[in-house]
Amino acid sequence: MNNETHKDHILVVDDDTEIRQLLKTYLEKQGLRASTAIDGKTMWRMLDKTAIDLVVLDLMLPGESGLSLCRKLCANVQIPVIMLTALGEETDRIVGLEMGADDYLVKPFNPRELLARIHSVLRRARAFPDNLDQAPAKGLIYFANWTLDTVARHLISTDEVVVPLSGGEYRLLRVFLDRPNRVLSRDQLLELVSGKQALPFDRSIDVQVGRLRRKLGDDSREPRLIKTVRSAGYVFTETVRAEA
Amino acid sequence: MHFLPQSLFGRLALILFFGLLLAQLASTVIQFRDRGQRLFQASGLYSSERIAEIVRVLDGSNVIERKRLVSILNIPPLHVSLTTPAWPGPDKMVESWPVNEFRQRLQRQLGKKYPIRVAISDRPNADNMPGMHNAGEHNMQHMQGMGMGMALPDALVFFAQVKLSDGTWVSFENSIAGEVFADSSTLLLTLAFLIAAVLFVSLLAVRWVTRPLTMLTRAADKLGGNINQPPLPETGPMEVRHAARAFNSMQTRLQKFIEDRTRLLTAISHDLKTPITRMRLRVEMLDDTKQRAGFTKNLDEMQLITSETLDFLRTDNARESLQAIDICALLEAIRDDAAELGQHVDIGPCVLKPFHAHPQALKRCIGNLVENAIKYGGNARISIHDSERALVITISDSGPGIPQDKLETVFEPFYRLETSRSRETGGSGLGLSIARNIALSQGGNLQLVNNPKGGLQAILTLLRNNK
Repeated sequence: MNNETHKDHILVVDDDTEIRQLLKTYLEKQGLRASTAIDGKTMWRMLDKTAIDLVVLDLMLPGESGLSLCRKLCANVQIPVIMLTALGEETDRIVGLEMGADDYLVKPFNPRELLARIHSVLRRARAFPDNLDQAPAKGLIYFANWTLDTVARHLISTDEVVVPLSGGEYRLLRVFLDRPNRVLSRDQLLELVSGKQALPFDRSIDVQVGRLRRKLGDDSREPRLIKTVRSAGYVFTETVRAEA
Repeated sequence: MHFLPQSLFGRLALILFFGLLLAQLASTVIQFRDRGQRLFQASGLYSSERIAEIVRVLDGSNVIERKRLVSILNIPPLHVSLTTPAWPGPDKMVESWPVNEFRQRLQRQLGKKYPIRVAISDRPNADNMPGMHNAGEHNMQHMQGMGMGMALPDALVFFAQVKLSDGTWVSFENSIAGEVFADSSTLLLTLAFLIAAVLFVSLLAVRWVTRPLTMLTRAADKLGGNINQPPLPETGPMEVRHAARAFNSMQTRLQKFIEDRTRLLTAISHDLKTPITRMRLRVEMLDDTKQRAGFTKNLDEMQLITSETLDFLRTDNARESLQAIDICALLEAIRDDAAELGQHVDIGPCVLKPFHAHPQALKRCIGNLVENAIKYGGNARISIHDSERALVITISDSGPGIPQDKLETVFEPFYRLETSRSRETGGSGLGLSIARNIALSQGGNLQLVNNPKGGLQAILTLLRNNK
């Protein structure tokens, strides 16, 4: 049984009183510690006062907007952020990610989904603490002969043909592009891509890497982009250049 | 009347062309006749002067000299003879030719002292010999009418007989060949040129007049695909300007109408998201698992309806630019996404040139169709047929299909087939509407067909030249 100090402390920032209270109750029911803040000012006060492990931040806030708060949060304090964005407003969601949010959820969200994301982000933050220093690449990412459009989530070839990616392919590619020249084990990849714990002898990540290589036109026997590291995993070896 | 041209352009051109042609022909014919007559008359009448001169010369000389002079003066086309030749018969008289004028002229030239007889015939001196006519008789030969006096004779012969002072008659016969004047090759050439010019000008004029109409039609046609197209230029003839203005104001009203409805629906869908979020949280607090599952399902449906409604209303692909897309990769991405959810999608042979479209919208469109195929038909098979003109993507399933009379109705927003199956599966009733909207906005179309071998086929046709 966890005592209070070992519980992850979540700060919910939302201007809707009911949602704020309900979220707090829900998260507490799920074994987390939760505090609430109505706006940015309250949030900073809370962050000063208490050690917060993760912030759930609504995009639409009175006063300073969630986006601006998110940017400051990522720049000043290394606390993971999950953005809550308006329904279907894709651009907002993307901008949120560009501002450095670790994940986003579209309102109205399924509370269980939020819980899963909270756990996933926290796990990720602990697995790669240094990763929080660098904000994930945003907008367009250039590598080898390709451009990855992180807004539309597709690849663009040098002759400007759009090559759509499946959700899994995109997530896997992002994992590689955000961590170039770093050997990633199959377990890490699986965790980062799908938030799942790898089962022993799970080769599903190999299938996904193979598929991604094919889409990138990378020869699996002599790969140039995603290289196999014997008994360790995979490493992305190309230079990655991002542009906001 | 099916042989009449169907287009306004054709009809106007036809009317204008034949009207102008008729007018041109009539005026040419009239002019032609007139010209012939004048030429005949002028040259015929001109001979009276020469006749008078010859008469005076002959009258002043003796009989021997006369014979010599006649042989000298007898130069075609004016025949002079001292014999009294046969007088042309009445049936050869040309009534319209100005006999009287000819006579008066000749009489004037000669003076009163010479009795004369004149006649004009359309034939050279004939063999039949009517009696000679007295010069004093003014009622000249009853002359045969030549149609309406319009047609040209083959030739025209001016006869004149003058009694000299000593009582001898001198005969003159001046024949003018008709073909000299009827020869109208230049006239025909002119006519041909005129007809060509008339044809050209009438085509040009009609095109000029009907072009704004064609533009209007094209604009009306395109309005179906894009209500926000730029307004028509209000130029051209007054009627066309008015039509363009009416068309533009109609477009504005339509835009406003659509905007209002869109804003209303968007507001409703947007405002629902907060209560739904609250309810989702409340449901999680429920201890009754059965109730919780029921609520969650209902909330899922509500959320789907609101999000699909917003998607449906967000018709502006403007945010996304037209890009060349690797369609095979797009289909594979859809297949792999479905595979992650444990669903099976089969893709036929796929080798394609990139297709120009809005990537996200197209993925959404095909994604919806694949989702439907899986939901109602258990699986999805995608086959591709490509040609220069169009790319046809067919998504087939093995489901029960759709009643024939509902194949079109299912595209209507929020329409759901009333079968227990579809109620169970839920859905917003917008998936197909969204898919068809996207297809139309990409300049294509989407159709549903029941496969005779079973199952439903969604046929997505995307035009290749739609850039």
